[in-house]
Amino acid sequence: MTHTSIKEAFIRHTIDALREAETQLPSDVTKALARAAKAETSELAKEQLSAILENAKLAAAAGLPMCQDTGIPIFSLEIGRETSIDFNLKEALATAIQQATNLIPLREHAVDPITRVSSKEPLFDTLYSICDGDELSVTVLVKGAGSENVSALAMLEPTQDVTSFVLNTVCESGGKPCPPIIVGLGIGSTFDGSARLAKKTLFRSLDEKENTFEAHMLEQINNLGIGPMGLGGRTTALRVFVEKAPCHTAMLPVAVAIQCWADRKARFRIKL
Amino acid sequence: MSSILKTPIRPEDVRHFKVGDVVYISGVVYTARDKAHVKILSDPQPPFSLLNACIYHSGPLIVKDGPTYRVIAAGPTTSARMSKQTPAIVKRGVTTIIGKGGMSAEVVLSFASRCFYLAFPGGCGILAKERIEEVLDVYYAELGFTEAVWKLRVRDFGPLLVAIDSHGESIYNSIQTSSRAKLNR
Repeated sequence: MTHTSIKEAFIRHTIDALREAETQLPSDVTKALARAAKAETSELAKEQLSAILENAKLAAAAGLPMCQDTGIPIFSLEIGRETSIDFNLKEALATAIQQATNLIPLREHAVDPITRVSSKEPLFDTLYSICDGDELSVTVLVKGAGSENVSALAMLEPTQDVTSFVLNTVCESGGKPCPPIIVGLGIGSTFDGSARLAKKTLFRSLDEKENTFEAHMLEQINNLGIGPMGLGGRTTALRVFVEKAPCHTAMLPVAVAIQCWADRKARFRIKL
Repeated sequence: MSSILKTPIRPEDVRHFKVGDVVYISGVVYTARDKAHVKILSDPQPPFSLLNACIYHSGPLIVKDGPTYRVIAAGPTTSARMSKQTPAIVKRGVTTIIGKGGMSAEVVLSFASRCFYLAFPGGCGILAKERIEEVLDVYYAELGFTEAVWKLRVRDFGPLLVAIDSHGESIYNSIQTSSRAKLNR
């Protein structure tokens, strides 16, 4: 393929992935929500979960975004070490978002952070990693503001307790992030490193087997009784993901990335 | 108790309901979020009457389709962000607030027998849009489509859960009190 046609194919795939994420709730999320609806004993919680599932079904059938907050596109780009990318990736992502805004459509909610005036520059974020092979693998997560707003980071003292910081964060966020939530923890590394670790966990599948620490955290979060939409119930979180990295002996950074039930992801691969 | 309420909704209508009741709303609702709240409160003469009005915390996804507007998705936004301005909004005569996630203790107090808060499931943009019949008008359009006030005609909008009533009860407060207690045990 020529230089232009590869770039165009990349843009097309990105738009398709954005559309899929916005309109079709991934099956791992749907399954987890359906399991939760069955297990709930509170009528109110059951009703919230069935509304969520019904909404997801309607959105998929209509090919329309399930939530008016069409989110912040966060791209996880896994770049094969044998690939050669001869176009500007960021520019291509920006073009894809601009086109998708009219095509899907997406809500225009990007603003300048100081003047708060509508921003012409598209809003998105990127996470890069290098892997084996000759492919570029792209996963997009469209993340709503309600859950991003209650995410938190603390530079704990090494003797402080990670669990109580996490539980406090979830407890104080109550119904604001649209529970049932998914909680991504980044423990260790540096100030910004912990946040990236936490964000990265949100790209994992809910079907992945949880480890003992993750299962224990989930149990404690769900014991809080916040429930779907903060109206009470057993299902506050569907899953806890934990990623850790070594840190300085004087430090204990902990980041809590909170994701709403609308855990909207889609992926594609392209040979380059 | 489940009932259909027609707008305008008066304080005496609101007082019949208590936390846990379910209502549906037919008539006119106004979307308002962060910027619209500030704008309304600083406007000596808002372009619509707040008396017995229903405010919907939402930044809908709406597109312009020739001369008309088409609602694509219109679920609620996080109400807590508007907690600071809400007591003043209630003072101006608003009796009904639709949103998600609940509001502050100060807001609960400000409701005093004249306003209540109704919860719509968060993220359910399509369910909400299906109960919106028509975009009647748009105010403060200069704020952009997300932050503007949209005057919407709705039919049987709901089910809406009375989550904060006009008598000082809030589901969110009782849930949060109990989850904080569990945390400190």
